[in-house]
Amino acid sequence: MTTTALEDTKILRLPLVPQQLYFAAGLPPFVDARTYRLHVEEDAPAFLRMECIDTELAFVLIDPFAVSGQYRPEFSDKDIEELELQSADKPLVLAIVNLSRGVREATVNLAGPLLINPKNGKGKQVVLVNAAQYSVRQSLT
Amino acid sequence: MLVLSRKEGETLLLGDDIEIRIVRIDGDHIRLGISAPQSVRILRGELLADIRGETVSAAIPEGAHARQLLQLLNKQTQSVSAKS
Repeated sequence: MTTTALEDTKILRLPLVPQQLYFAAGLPPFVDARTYRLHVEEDAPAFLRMECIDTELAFVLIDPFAVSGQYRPEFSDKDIEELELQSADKPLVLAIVNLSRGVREATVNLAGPLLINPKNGKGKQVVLVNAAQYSVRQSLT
Repeated sequence: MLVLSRKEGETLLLGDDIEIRIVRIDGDHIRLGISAPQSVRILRGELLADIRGETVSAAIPEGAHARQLLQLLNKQTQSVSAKS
């Protein structure tokens, strides 16, 4: 399987995806795993693979707006400030896919997505202000 | 932790702009009404634990395994879209 650098691919149709992400608080409870690399597989272009560079820890991610056309995430001012997002910036939002019950039972966490500043690669797993409207385990199939 | 007793219809004020009202007490259920600015996130306490648990469940211990899963997932989503 070929791994393509994100800059070389248009398949995700996401505006700007940094290759390296820094989560100052990790992805709780994995608070010590802070720096991740993003990869896209040519064989599975709808998904991103996010691998920690310090430890053997990986996540599969998806564009949550592709999962639900009605997805309207609201972020707290504190989260926006922490990532140094300016009002003109369009943040990158990615959702974690859970494949632990098998690919047929794949689910997506829409209530607690990853909010990313595409300019500096800073990210945070946030709890949406309107988290109550979305599922932690939205079925993918 | 501050612990207070309140009766039905009574309120609590948090800071300048958050009000919590005990709307109704019905056996072991308490209905709360909360007035707060739009920017204040209000969550059931269980949700945060649920999200953390989900992150643990979704974590893949090896990058190589993540690649295998993606291949399987891709086959699955292709077969689903082919059927629809």
